[in-house]
Amino acid sequence: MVANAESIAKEKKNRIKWGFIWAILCAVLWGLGYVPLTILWGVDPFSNFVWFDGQAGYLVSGVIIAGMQAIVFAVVLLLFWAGLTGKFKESIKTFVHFKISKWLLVAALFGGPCAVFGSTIAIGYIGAGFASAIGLLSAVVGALMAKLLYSERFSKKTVAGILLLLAGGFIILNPLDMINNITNPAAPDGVWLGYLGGIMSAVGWGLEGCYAVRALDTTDADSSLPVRYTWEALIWVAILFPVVAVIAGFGNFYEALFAALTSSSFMFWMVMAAFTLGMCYATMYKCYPLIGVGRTLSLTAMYSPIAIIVLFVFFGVVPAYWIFVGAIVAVAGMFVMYWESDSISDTTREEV
Amino acid sequence: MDLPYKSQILKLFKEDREMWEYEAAEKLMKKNGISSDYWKWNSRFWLMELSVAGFIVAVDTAEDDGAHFAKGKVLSKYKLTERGLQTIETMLED
Repeated sequence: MVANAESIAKEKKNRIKWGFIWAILCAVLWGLGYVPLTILWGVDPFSNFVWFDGQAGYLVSGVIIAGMQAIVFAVVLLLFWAGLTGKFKESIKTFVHFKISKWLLVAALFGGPCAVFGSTIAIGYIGAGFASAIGLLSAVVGALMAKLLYSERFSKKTVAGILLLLAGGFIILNPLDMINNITNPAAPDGVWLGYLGGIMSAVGWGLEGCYAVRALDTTDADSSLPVRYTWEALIWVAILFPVVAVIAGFGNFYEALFAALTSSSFMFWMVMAAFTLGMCYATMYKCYPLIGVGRTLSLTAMYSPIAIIVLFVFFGVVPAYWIFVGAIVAVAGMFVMYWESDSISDTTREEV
Repeated sequence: MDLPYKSQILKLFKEDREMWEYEAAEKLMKKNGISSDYWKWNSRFWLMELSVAGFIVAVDTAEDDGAHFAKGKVLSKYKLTERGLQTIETMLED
């Protein structure tokens, strides 16, 4: 008996629905993630960072926070997420097959040292609200690259949704305010580094999705994500930590790193970050195969208004009026995309 | 070491170009000596992902009478696409 069109349509709707559920969950966890990420800068040893001061202090702190994030996330995701889903062995199988694994290595390079580190210094130099808002642009980078690399299909409504999200992002970002900030002689030294970090995060996250999906084409999302973090942890430990240590001073750097490792408040908030930001990644990797990279990144852009609300609730950071306006526009963009879901075809990519 | 399950299930389509999803799932589980509802449903999910990526395409459907996954579910018969074959040859073979 051939299945009727109605139940086939229902199954497809189910797939899209789950894609959206994972995306929204990702946005909520991502937004919440800015709480531990902000606190990390304010706890021992970074609250009173004695090894380096001034700009060097911020940069070294950024390197240690971003690198530790990769290491802790790798451990938590491998034990908790891959373990919970019974896919620990799958992770190992994915890791050792380099033809698959190499795409997760590329994803880790863009997502880690470029995006996470960039976002970390944007939080340190400018603030979490700004860092979260500029990360919105990763949706646009990802969508355009997905179009270029995989000919992902976009309907007119998807394009309209992306444009609305972009407009919302720009309003939140407030380029006029940004220019004032950079050109203001009274602005803190090196504030431009914060903006540069923000741009790194947008480009890095956008590209990460495009390369991760190459691996996800043939592997399971739950088991691939810990592999991506394992690669990132290895990049930090084997390459970036030693390089920064040589530049910044070997003894001081490793002393600072050790101080972070042995600070219980630092490690506690890092594990909290793993359960918010790390888990947001798990849901994001589940989305890519279901609804495509461009659509996932655009939908998860909802994290920014969420982050702004969360930062207000936890730290009493009152956002500027343009941030409210931008958030409303971004939410409108999401709804435009959701209404498009009926016309999403069977495959997310163009036929070959 | 064996390929991850999702890679293996795609590769199975190089031998049998067309398979019902429950056939592919059974073949994968038999090959790996696993048998549980968990991996059976995971297999079905992977096949759906693979079809979304355009590696396999549904050429026939049937309604599950409860014998395979659950009553009322749509069963798909998948066929390997040209892109799927390319992916197997570039990513999953030495």
